[in-house]
Amino acid sequence: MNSVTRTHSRRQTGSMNRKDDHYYIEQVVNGNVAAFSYLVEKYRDMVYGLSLKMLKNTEDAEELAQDTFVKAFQSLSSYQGKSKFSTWLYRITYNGAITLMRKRKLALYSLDEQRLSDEDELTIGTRLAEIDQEELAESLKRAMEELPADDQVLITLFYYEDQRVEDIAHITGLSASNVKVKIHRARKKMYLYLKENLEEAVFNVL
Amino acid sequence: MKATDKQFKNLMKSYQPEKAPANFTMDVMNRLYAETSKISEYKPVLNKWVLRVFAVLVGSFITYAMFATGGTAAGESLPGAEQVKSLVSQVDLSGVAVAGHKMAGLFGSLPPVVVAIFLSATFLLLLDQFFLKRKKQVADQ
Repeated sequence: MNSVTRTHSRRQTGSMNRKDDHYYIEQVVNGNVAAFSYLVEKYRDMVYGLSLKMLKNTEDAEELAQDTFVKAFQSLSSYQGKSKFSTWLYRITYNGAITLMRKRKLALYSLDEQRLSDEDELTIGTRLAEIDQEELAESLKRAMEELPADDQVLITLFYYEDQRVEDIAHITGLSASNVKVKIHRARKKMYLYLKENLEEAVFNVL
Repeated sequence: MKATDKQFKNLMKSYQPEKAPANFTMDVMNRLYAETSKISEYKPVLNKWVLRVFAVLVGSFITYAMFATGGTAAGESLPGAEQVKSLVSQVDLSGVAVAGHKMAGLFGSLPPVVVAIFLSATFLLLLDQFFLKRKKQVADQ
């Protein structure tokens, strides 16, 4: 299944998935350990992806992702369902990554960079929508990799995972207004990288 | 939602995030099964050496009850080795009944709380050993 179809199906079955999550959580809390594999299977890519974005190392990311699920399993009885299970899980991932990054003194925060106007963004977006899907996917990936860790997380959670600003604030421990500002800046930075990639591609064709 | 946000959300539909390794779920579940079996694995409360010391203490207490109470005056020191030998030779079936009475007398002289703690600890240790033996029997089957 490609990412587009997957995203659509995820949106369509959003409320059903939430019910599914709760069903499996209840199963696990009642002693059915195997039921947890459903939750691992469903969120493994996202948890691993977030870990990798922050730690920039596949081994560390895998270890953190595994630790996240083990921690989630151990404290599942304390999950009260006030937030979405995914939000709760991403918060565990994010906190785990922050702890590791502090230990290893890795940079988390982004620096202010050149910004684009909204009109510039719309123009770049229109041009990007016209290019080949595979090429676009590759451009997005490269642009994402150029972003600092915290920006990558915000962009992924908001624009790809459809998490609400309030949920992202809960995950990252930032205020909702701070999250909004950071998402806005991160998107601009990503557009800037996408624009450079686009110009490079055009230059290469010429 | 602003037009720029909408447009970027549409673009991000083409984004392909990193995927976890193929055996990721299996690795996590193996770790979880290992964790849960660690929790359910029964371990005795006290190790063998502590149990041996406890057995010696209980044995000494019973010996003291059988030979050193009643027959000696209060505050008198424990009988010597010679006295113990002569007392041991005098033990017969009726002596066991007498020892029982002496023990009951000794327990009666102790505060009830101390007696309750002592008996409860003994019972729990016996239970602990019983579970350990049962676990070994099940494992051998």
